[in-house]
Amino acid sequence: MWDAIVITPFINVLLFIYNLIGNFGVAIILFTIVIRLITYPLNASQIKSSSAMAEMQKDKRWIEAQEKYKGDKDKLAQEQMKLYKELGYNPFSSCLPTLIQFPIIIGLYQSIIRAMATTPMDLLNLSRQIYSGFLKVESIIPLNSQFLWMNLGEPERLKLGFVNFGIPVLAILVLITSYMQSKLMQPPTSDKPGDQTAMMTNMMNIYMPFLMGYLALTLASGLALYFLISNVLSIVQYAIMGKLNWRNLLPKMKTQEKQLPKPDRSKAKK
Amino acid sequence: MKESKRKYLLLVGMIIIASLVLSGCAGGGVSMNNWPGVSVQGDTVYLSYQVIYALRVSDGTLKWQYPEKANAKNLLYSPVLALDTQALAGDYGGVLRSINTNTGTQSWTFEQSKTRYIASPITANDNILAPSTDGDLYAMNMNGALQWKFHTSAAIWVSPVSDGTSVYLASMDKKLYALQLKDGEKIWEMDMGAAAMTAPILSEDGSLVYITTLGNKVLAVNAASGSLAWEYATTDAVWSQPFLYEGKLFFGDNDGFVTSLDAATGKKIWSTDMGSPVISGGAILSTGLVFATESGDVISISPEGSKLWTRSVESQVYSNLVVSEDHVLVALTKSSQLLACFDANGNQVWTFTPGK
Repeated sequence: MWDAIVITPFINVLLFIYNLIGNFGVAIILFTIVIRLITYPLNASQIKSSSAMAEMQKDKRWIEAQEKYKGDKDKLAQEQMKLYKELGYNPFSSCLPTLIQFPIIIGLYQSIIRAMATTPMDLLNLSRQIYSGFLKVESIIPLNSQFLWMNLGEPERLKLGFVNFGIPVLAILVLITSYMQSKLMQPPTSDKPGDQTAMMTNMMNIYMPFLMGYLALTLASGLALYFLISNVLSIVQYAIMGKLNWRNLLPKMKTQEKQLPKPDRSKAKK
Repeated sequence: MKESKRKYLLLVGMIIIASLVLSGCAGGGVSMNNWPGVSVQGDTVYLSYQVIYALRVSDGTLKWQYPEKANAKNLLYSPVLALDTQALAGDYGGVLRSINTNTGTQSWTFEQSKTRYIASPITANDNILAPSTDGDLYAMNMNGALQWKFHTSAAIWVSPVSDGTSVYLASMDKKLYALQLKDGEKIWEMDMGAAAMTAPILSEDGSLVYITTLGNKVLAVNAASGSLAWEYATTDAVWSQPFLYEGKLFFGDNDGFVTSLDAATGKKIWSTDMGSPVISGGAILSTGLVFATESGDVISISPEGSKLWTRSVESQVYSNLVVSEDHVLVALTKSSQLLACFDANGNQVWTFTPGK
């Protein structure tokens, strides 16, 4: 069922692009872009909801409720729901696009894995998933999995003449772009020491890039290429929507900013 | 503070799960999804499925296993080339190993392949010919020292064949090559129009090379010139390794038919429906021919095409069948049992389950 609805159509679109281009690396890039364009409205809706949530957390009543009902979770939840209603915010509006996108992302990921078919069993299964009226198996198989210096079915290493080991260029790029992505997309967090949300966000910002980098290091480079393009496209989409926080990338400047005396806006308003 | 610690643990746990799910989906860069390789030498059957199991044909008891534990980077699936004293096996880490057939210990390794081995090596005139997915055919002496290599523009997934003077090699670049055995010099190449998933075989007099392609064709090529002698169109792709018997060529196809062709002319003699795709190559028993279907039926047919007996192994079968001492050995896929042995009359003699 899952295969028939998601994986097989995805594989055929990916292979259709490959058939036009003749390069599997470029096909992965274009396929990822196509899927991202299709899911752009869902992503945009999620980004807007996240921003609205971040804005709401700055609301005076929200902050007061956090302080007032610190020890009473049920009451805090009630107050939060009340506030959601008052401000017209639907807490599920940021989850729903993610939930819809999740099968698409998993389908994209699995279709790339299956299309790379690096064993006879994988190739046999792939040949059976190709719509015979749409694509010719004998002209597509085997896929040319060479892209730049990479064999997309194998973990990537760039071998240079002056060093006797392979450099994992893709893994490094995935790590850097994952870090940039998480930092640039991070909404402004509270500066208060002991803020758990800020702590968790910071931890995620450190662990996730390393996890993605590790996966790119060990998995087939076709997948690492997909991770890289996905990261870049996410950053681009945030940039288009004007939601990037470039200052998050500059920790020193941020620290300096914190140290500067801030004007007392509350007094100025009065 | 306790709350913070709990959230921290939850976060770390989620990251670990995400890591396992993602790497699990992709097989960690080394796919686990393949069928076993089987070969025989004398009274021993060699089964490659992550590791190599050497079993006695007579009763299926384990003689040795190499290595003791599967190594994710060096999984073994390609059929072993078993000789008198050494068994040669290429792994998914690109290492070709010579294993002592008496002790099951490693004698030497050849590590020049840049990627995995899928096809089995062969020997010809005291040369080992190892086809690799890096596109090279490596020729080495019996101690693993490189003599020459021949490069093709795509991976090589099937074994070559040699008449002692020339080597015939099919690459995934859709070409069939003839090379000189002594130095790997190319004699001719021929465009097959599609990739081949079966190894080329030679006619009894060595004048023709037979090969099947994913383009639904069986080709007979003149060994001397590389010109096409005849071709036969099938209704579906042929993954089943063809074999010759009494001047006839036998093979199964993905449509579930077993076909017999006149090996000299390519004319169809008969074709019989097996009820399910035939991916594995067949074999010859004293009582007749034997094939296995993907859905797990082991079917014996006479050389004239009539069914003699059918047995079910209740598992999928993709690996080529092999025969030793008039017993057929059937490697099973997606089953806890890895190998089943039948006598020429279809009686099951033993099964092999690893760890038992």
